[in-house]
Amino acid sequence: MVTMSGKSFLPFVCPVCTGEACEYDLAAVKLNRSFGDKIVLRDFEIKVRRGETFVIIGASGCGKSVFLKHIVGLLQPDSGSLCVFGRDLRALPPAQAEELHRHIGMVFQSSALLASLTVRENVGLALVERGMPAEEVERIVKEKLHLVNLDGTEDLYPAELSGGMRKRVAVARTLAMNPKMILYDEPTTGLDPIMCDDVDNLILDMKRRLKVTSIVVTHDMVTAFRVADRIGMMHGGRLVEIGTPEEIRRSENPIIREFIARNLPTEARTL
Amino acid sequence: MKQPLHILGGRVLEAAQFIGECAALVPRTLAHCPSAYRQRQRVLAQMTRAGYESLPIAAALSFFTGLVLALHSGIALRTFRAEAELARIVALSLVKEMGPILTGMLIAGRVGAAIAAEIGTMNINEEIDALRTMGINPVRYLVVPRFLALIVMLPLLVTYADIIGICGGAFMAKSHFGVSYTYYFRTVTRVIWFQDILEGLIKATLFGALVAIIACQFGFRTRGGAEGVGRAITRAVVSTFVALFVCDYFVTRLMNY
Repeated sequence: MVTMSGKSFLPFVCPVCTGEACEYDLAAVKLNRSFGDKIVLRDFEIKVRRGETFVIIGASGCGKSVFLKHIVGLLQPDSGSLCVFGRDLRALPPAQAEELHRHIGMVFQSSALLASLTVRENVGLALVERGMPAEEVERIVKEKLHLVNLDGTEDLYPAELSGGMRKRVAVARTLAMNPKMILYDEPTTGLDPIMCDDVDNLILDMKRRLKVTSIVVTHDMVTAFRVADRIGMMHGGRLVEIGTPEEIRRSENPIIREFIARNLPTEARTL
Repeated sequence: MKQPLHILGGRVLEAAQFIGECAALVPRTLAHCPSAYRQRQRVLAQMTRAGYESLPIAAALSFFTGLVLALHSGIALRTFRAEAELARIVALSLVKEMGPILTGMLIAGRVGAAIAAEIGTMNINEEIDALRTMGINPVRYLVVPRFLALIVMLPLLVTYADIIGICGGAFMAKSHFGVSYTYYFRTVTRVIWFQDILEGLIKATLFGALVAIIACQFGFRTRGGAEGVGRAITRAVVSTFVALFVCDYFVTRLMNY
């Protein structure tokens, strides 16, 4: 059983690991979520191992981002279990769920930097709000900006940054909270190919240096094949196939074949 | 084609839902107010935006309101050769009614619109979701500083507007109706009671709370890009105007029971 902050959470154990040493940082069991008549998640199941980079691919609007929002607590499922670090989020009291969410960072599709704050203020925001001394915040901000190769940008505003730089600041802001898991929502959408490479390298770099568990939601197959340990194809509210990049590339599933054909440049399909 | 009653019912339900959302936001805001000293910089910044930067426009608005009020009242009083009572009408009208409601409407249009636009844009750009994922409560971070700034600054602005308006009335009384400044201001100090000032300040405080809560809630429920932000601003301002007049009526009834 995984414990955090030395506390025991046995009454709220994940039904996947059932109290034994849990190898999964994230597990969803029969997760359902609808918006009105539209079913977005239908008996959705996933297991993500510690330190793994799991990429969820699927068409726009299929529910990939909705699933990420369930992990960080922005949305609640209608039914099913969602276990993070071995604890069932739905069964946890709100205060413990909030404590758990502090170990998860999310990089939004739009980067979601606060436009009225500088890079320094954005990266240090959560730390300042927790009452950390200014000198300590400054040290951590510099350290995290160095980690994403953005030294010297502290006094710039988000509007003065390129799309790729904004993504990097968003990652630095997430890293400032020392997350055990990072969620990337469409990290390369709206970026040119060079910026996309830049972001892919950043994801790989974070995994290599910090050993964090990463969940990447994308429909960019180049990114998916580059950064993934495993890929899951989402269709009809659930993952219809899960495999390594090589297994997905060789899949005979017509949904996957069509998706790859539409989202991967011809020359990259055989690489 | 939908029946008119169906459309009307939908609108009523939507309005009821919005009122419920605003009512739910009030205790959540008040719950975070005791810890507001931790974000005093943001509160002060909002006070500057809502109060200090509104001083010139509030002065112009209230001065001309005082002029017009004195002119209309003076013309009517002249019929009865009672121009000397002009100060009484101008002062009481401004302190009890015109000052709070006009300043409230000014702040709803100037500050309320800005709040709805700012929070609405943040909502669309996922900035509010980002705050939540960082463990930062959006009500504490966004609503509390604006709420406190407005409930503090609106009474001060109303007091300032009342004084300017009364001065505007004095100028008109002297220049058009021959009432001396000494007599005018002596009458003003004689007719205004503490309860009149209190009524105006209670209204101002409630108006400040209404502007902040309604504008923030419209910001939080903004959907649909730039067009949605525009719609949120319009609705925030119009709804606040209606709320101000409804609140004004009930406070007046209560204070003059």
